[in-house]
Amino acid sequence: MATATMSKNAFKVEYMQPFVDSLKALFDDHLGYPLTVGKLRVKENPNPSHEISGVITFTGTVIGRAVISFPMDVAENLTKDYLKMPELPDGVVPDAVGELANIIVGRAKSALKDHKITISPPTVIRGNSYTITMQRGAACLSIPCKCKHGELVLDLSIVDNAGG
Amino acid sequence: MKVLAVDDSMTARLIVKQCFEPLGHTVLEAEDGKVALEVLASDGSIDIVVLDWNMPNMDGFTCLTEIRKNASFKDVKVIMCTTEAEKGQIVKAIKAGANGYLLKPVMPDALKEGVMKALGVSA
Repeated sequence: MATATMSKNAFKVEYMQPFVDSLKALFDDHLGYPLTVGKLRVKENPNPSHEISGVITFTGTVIGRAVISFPMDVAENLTKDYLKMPELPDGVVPDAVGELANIIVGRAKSALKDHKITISPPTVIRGNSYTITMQRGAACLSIPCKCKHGELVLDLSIVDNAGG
Repeated sequence: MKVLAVDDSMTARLIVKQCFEPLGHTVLEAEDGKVALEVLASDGSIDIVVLDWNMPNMDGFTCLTEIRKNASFKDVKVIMCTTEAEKGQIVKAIKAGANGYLLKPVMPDALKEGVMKALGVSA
C-alpha cells in the first residue's frame, strides 16, 4: 500500500478557490464541457476517493499537497478528450493524469500571486486500496466534482509556511 | 517543417504530434532538455523546438540557454510551452532567446499559430 504524508497546520480556506477555478477552467476552456463542483468538506478518510490519483506537492511561502482522483474509466475518457484521440497508446492514461494535475496546480499557483511557490513533478498512484496519510493536526479539504464522464475529486491541504 | 517536442510528459508530446503530423510535418520527441540537445545535434534539420520548462535532468530554461549558446543551432526557433505563467518567467525566457511563449493547456489552434508566428510564416 502506497503512503504519503500531508502537511500539518491549519488550512486557509481562501487558498482553495484558485485550485477550484483552475479545475473548472480546464473543463470549460479546454475540454469544452462543464464541471459541476460539489460542496467542500473536510476529508477525514485518508483514502483517495478513486482508483487513479495525480499528486503534486508544493513548497515555498505556502506548503501543501494537491491530489486529483478519478475512477479509471473517467480518467480514460478525459484523456481521450484532452488528446482528441478515440484510441489511446499504451501507458498514456497515467501520464495524462499527472499532466492534468500539473496543469491544474500550475494555473492555481499563478493565481496565488502573492506567494512564491515551487511545485513538484506529479506522482501518479493507481490501485484499489491505497492511503495518503495526513500528519496529526493536518487538515485536508475535499471537493467532489462531476463531469459528463463521471466523478472526480480534488483533495487539498495547503498552509502558510512559517519558515518560508 | 520539422518540430522537436520536448516535455517529460508523453501526453504533452502527443499534443504536439497530433497538431502537426496530420498536416504532413515531422515531429521528433525528447523527454528532457539533455535529450533535446542530443536530438538537435544528431538531426541537424529541426526548425522549431516546443519546450516545456519543468523537466528532470535538464529543465527547459537551461536547454534554451544551451541552444542559444550553440552557433550550430542559431536558426532553430524555440517556443516555450509551460504552466509557468508568472511575468518574470516569461520575460526571463524571452530575454534568453525564446521566440514565443505559450501557456498550458494549449489549444491546437493556439499551438499552430504560436509555432507559425515564431517561424515567421502565415498560419
